[in-house]
Amino acid sequence: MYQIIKSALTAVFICMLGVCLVGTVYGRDLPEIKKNGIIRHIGVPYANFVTGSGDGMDVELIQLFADHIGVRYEYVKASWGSVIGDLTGKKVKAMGDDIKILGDVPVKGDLIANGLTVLAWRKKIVDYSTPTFPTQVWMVARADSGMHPINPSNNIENDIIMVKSKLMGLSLLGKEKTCLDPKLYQIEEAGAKIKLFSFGLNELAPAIINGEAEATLLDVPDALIALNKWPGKIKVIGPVSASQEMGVGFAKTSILLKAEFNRFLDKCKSDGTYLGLVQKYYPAVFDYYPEFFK
Amino acid sequence: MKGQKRNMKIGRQAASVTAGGILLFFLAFLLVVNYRSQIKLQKTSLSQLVQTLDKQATIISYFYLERKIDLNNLARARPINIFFENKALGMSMAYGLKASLVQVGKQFDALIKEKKISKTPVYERIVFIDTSGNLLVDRRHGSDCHDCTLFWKDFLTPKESKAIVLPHRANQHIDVLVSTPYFFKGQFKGQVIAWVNTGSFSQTLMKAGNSQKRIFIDFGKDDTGFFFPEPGSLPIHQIQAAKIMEPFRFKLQDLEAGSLDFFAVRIPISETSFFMVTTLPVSDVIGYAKSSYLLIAMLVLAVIVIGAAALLWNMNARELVLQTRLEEEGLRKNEIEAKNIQLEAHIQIKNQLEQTLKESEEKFRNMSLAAQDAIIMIDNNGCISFWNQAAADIFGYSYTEAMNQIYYTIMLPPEYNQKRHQKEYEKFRKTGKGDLIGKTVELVVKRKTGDHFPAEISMSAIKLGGKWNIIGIIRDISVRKENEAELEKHRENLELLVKERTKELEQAQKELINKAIDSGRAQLSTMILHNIGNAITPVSINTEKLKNNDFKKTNQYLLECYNDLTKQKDNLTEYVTKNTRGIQVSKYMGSLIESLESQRFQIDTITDKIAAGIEYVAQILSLQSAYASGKKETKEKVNLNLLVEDALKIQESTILKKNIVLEKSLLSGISRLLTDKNKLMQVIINLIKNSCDAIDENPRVKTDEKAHMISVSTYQAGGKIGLKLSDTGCGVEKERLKEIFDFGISSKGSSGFGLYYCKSFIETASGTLTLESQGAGKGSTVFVEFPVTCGNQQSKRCLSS
Repeated sequence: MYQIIKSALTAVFICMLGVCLVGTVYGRDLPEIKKNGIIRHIGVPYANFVTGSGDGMDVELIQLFADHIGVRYEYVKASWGSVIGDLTGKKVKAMGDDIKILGDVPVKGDLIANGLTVLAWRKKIVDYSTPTFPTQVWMVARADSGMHPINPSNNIENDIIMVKSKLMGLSLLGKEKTCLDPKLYQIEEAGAKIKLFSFGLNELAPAIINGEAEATLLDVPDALIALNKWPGKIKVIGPVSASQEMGVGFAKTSILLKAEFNRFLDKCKSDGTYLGLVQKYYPAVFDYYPEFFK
Repeated sequence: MKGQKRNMKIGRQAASVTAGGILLFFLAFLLVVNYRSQIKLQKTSLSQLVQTLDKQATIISYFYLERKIDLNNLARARPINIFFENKALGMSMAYGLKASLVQVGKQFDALIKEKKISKTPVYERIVFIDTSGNLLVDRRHGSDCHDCTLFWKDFLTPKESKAIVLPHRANQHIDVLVSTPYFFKGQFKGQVIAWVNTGSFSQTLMKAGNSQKRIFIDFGKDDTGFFFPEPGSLPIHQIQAAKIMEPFRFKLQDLEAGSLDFFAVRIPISETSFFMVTTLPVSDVIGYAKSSYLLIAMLVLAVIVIGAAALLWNMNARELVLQTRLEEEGLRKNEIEAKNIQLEAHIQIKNQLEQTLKESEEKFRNMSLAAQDAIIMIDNNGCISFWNQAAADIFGYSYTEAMNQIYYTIMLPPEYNQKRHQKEYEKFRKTGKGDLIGKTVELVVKRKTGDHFPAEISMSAIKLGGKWNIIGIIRDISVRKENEAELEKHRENLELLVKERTKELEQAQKELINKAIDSGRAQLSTMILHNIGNAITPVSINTEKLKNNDFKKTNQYLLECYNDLTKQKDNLTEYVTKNTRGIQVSKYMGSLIESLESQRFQIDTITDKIAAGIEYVAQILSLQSAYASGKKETKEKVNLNLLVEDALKIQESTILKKNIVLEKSLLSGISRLLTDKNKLMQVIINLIKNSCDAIDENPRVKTDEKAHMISVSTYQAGGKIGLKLSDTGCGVEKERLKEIFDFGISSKGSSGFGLYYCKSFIETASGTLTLESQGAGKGSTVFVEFPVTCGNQQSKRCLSS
């Protein structure tokens, strides 16, 4: 009898431990966040989503969300290589549209918001909010490059083909574990010489200006910023992807949190707060994606 | 007279004509000057108006110049270049090129937001079109602002190098556009066009201020529709045909006021092809009257004034002159009447003065008749010109006899030097001064009978008619002289009598002083006898005590004891030691021996006292012999300290009896005095006695024996030897201090010889005696001082206590 009871207690203990561990392995949900009084925002400094200076479109959005749920805001800096693990507690490797879990890592935050493009492999491990931003991946070359921008057709796929036709032998920068991972767009198959960039996405445009490669992949927000920062130094050749979307990433277990965020985002869109943030950080995007922002 | 009047009339007429002419000329001058001034004022007003409008037009041109600068800057801005650079790179709008346009749009937005006029944006819309007429960027101040489609190619100005300002009419609405071409690398690539906010512009820069003044912008087109705001019924063509910067006059029909005259001024606005047209009523600039009307009004006024003047001239000139004459006559008559009144007043005053003069003469005549003294007047020639009755009575010459006679011939005795008188009088005639003038002198004069008599003459000089005269008053003083002689005689008798009486008084005084001296001596002797008596009394008392001494009895008792012991001589020892009686006897013998001893002591004491008393008497007698001398005064060198000591000794009993505390301070080495020692002693004794008596009489200290004090001191200072004697006696009232030394004055009811005698003696010896007191009951201090004479020897004894 004693042994039974002992075993039962052990089991309960293990379960509890497991629950705790689950809590640490997986992101917290809304009740725990409210109980603790703090929400941790995982963000990779990228474009104007997370500028790295304490502001950015996603930074302000999550700060407003923290106020909305009545908790304190905390920023957790991450990198593209660690961002998924910081949220989910799992170190993963993208394998096409699938993933391979390489191990466990500590959970550092409750959500990811830094212009996180919705990708198939990410969806396997992360849940996305309602889309927060439109995007697309373009190929951007140095201005004096021999490559000439395509004449757009009204068909995106044709445009992609035309771009890819220019890739043969071209040195192209990309970045793994991001939306600019060349593997996602079969760039290598198109004959381009892939160079995986180890620095931040914000450094890609300066890298090709400095001659590290002839071209680079850039998503639209980043490209708009780069065109503004280095006018006449770079040029957009054309798209390598169809239209994409960005959203806020949540752990699979943070169901309530995601739901609350979606409600919050709807409210921001309806009262003009969201558009104000977009106008502030990406004023040019309205011309490119008027339908998205209607 | 008539000729004069005529001349006056002609003169007045000529003066009137001249005045009229001057008036006419002046009026004409005023008219011309006024007319020309009005014309000039109008011209000035117009030129000022044009200048003001020109300034306003300049402001508007500055405004448009700034707009052109804005657009030129906008066209040269980097964002548009970036767009074309990116476009040149081949970028498409679908992929990246739009981003450049976004920046251009942002720049346009910034300009719209930045440039404001009266808090409203200057620009309503800014667009950028390419050479194909495509609207690349369109930024607006309001969402519905200028929401119309335009044929943009019409706005391209590839041949212009800079911005231009042009009007644009759309939907019956005129906009002012500022348009500038854009060149990219020298090639015309597009146009930047901005719409100016004409509403706020016109409200701010085209303010009329005046309700009837209006400002328009003529956009320089033949079409009348290119006027802003709506010109209404303005004669646009005429205005446009008018010269620039010159007021153009035209009429406007008003429903209420009818036809109104207006000015229109057309000022070019530089930097544009526009004109600023200002219309305003003529009356606002130059008033309501035309210059010709003004001239006519002035001429009419001049005619009226001249006509009125002529009319008045014809109608009233004569009457006015006559009236003036009448008024003058009236004034003259009034003057004459006033002068008559004045004359009557003068006559009245003159009569009063004559009456006063008569009365004065009468008074003088009566006075001269009544006067007892002779009053005469001597004229400048020395002749008598006035001779009153008293003069006639005194001198014996009647009025008629004396008048015009030389005065010294009838008045002065012959022994008087007539020549000297003449000479003196000559001097007087010229100067009015003389030895006897202004004085009263006594002279001997003569009567008619030849008698001489003394007279008192007073002479004064007066000037009559510029000549000196003498007034003399003469009094016969012969009776007075007789009286004076008799008085002199009586006075001499009186002096003799006074001298005799004075001798008698001096003799009496000497006798009195001698009596006082004798009295002092007697007093001294009395004091000495008194002192002797005082000394003898204790001697007799002590002698009586000796007599009544119990020595004899004691001796007897002792003898009896001896006899008793003798009887028991065989067993004496046993008798005195064992026998009761023997013991008593021996004890008794002892007591008797002790009694004898005390009696012996008493006898010694009594004999000492008797000896002292006898000694005292001897001293007193010695003093008496020392100070008792004859009446003859003998001077000798005296030591004042010794005298004081002796005097105190003499008064010792009195001092002791009255319990007076004596303080002595006698200066050692004091010089000797050469004086009568006895008399000085008497003085000192008298002074000490007075102090003792004064202490007795002071009610304040009488009962307080501790306050009985006499202090005596001698001193030598300032060439004087002195004795100071102070007491706490009854003192002397301050008002009596002066008379305390007078003969017969005493505060003690005595004859008063004491202090008087003392002072007399001391002053005789060239000394001074003074008494000081703070008043009754406050004691007194006496100072006796003698001068130190040469050759005085210093005293060798020092007698200070």
